[in-house]
Amino acid sequence: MMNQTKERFLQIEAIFHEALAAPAEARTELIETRCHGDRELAAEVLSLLEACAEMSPFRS
Amino acid sequence: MEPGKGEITLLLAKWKDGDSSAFKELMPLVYPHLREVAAAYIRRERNPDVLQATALVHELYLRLLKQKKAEWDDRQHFYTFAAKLMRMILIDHARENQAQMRGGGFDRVPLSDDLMWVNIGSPELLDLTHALDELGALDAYKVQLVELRYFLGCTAEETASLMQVSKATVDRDLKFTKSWLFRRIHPGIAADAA
Repeated sequence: MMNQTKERFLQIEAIFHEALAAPAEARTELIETRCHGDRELAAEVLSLLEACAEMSPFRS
Repeated sequence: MEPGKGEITLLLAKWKDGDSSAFKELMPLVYPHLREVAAAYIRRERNPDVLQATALVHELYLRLLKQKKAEWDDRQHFYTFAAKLMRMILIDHARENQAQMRGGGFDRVPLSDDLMWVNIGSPELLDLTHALDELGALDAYKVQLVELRYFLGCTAEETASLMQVSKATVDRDLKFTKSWLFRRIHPGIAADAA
């Protein structure tokens, strides 16, 4: 999470939205495909999706 | 010393034209009034009416418009300006609160119903503002969204109209932004697993 570049940030955002739009069971595979073996990128997206899910019960 | 009647309008126009130093000059002129507005808002903490803050800032806007037939009639600039100020005011409030309470004993009142993990006057609010500064270097537009939606209390529709995007875009962008900010503040397990 340290000092993201703009390019990285945009990449993360795009995959995050793609993953959210995909059915839950297809997400992991989609992220792996879209990250082309970049495990750090995949972990980042997954962690944001977790954060999103963690927050959702509190949303009104 | 009272600011000249047209001074605020003039500075807002300069800021709109991209003169960032105008914001610094504007702050002391508008801050005291907005601070009063915010104080009333903060006093309402037990039953925070977020729309109240918007209504009061709207009133300020109308007053500024009346002050002088404004050459700028750009709602977007005024509101993003007011939202930025509201953020500063709430951050100052949180700092004062932390200094007095040393981190404990404040009422847990969320900044917004859509952002339940950040309470007014709490240390998380200070963490949030640091995360927003980082975000600003990556995507200034998203910081404006957060300021309008959560610090000024605009609805998603109002935010969309001010930013000239659709409500669906605001919702979508905020979903990502909230997750990003949350993760920035709470790094969690998954972020370390890579």
